Amino acid sequence: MPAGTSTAMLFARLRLNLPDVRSLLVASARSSVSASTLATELAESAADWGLNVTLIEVQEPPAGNQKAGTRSTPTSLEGEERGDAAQSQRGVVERITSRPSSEGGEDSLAQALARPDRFFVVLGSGLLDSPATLLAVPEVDAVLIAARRGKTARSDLQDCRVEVERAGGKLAGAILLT
Amino acid sequence: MYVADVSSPSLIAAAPTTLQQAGQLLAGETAANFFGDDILDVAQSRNVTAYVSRQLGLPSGSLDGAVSGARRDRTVDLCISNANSATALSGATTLGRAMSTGRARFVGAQMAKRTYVAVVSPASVSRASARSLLFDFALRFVLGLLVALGLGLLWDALDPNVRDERDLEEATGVPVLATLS
Repeated sequence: MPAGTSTAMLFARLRLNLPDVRSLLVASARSSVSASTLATELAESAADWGLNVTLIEVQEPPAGNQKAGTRSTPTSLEGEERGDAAQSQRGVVERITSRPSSEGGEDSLAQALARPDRFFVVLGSGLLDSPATLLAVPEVDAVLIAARRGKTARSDLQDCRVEVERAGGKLAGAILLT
Repeated sequence: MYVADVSSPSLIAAAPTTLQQAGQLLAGETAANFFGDDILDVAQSRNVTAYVSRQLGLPSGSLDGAVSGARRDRTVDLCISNANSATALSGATTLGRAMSTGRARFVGAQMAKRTYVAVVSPASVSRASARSLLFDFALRFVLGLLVALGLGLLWDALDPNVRDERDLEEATGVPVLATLS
């Protein structure tokens, strides 16, 4: 795909190449690559396709003995009302946060992803420095890895590949951010 | 273009017998080195080239900038470039004489008295190779380019970060779906 592709084009390509994928984890090798912006834009693009989207923000479990879980947030990106007919078929984006745990639980990420008739974009952080993101890997259908030109180390990306495979996930593609 | 050169050394010959004498000898050698630099500077001065021109019956200023040279320890190599080989040869001979036996005229009688300068080898003349200068320049230019290219490749090889889609694809083993700015 040529440089400067929009997120909408990216999502269209994903739908063509990976039609069965219902949940995507967008992550990077290390945090601070702006993967969150990419994930949010992907969710919006999915909604533009008429899909009801759940954007799940993976958060690290807080220190202490708190239970892992998933909760809706008041900052949900509800579907916006738009005037024209095409956009009235736009899906709804809801935003929830999840704290995956290796122990799972009733409110686990897997349970959130089991909701029918929705498309899920899981917003991860750095695969190599966020255990919660790595825990989300086996729960999703595919993992997209974002890398920043001139900032992301090749060795980190190779490590990510290994980690994703080790976690039982499927690395579906990479996105270069310039 | 012809080039003639003449060597004007400052010689010291003594066998050190005491530490004091050795020290004096060392000081003398250092002084001789300094004086060699002085001779080189003086030989290239307009005053000296004008003198040599007059001696050869050449127009004033015709040898300005024609004198070059280098010092190696206490030996000074002087060179005169001129389009005429005979002029170059006689100019170099005159210059060697001026900087040795006639040096008092240029460095002062006191300095001339305290120093010893002699012509080591007679002047000789050869054709200056402009081609070799051009070759030298070309060689240095090419070497400079090669070094720059090598440094660039080294920098490139040592850069651990992804730079393009191919890099990213190789590192992750999966296709690059998009490049977003």
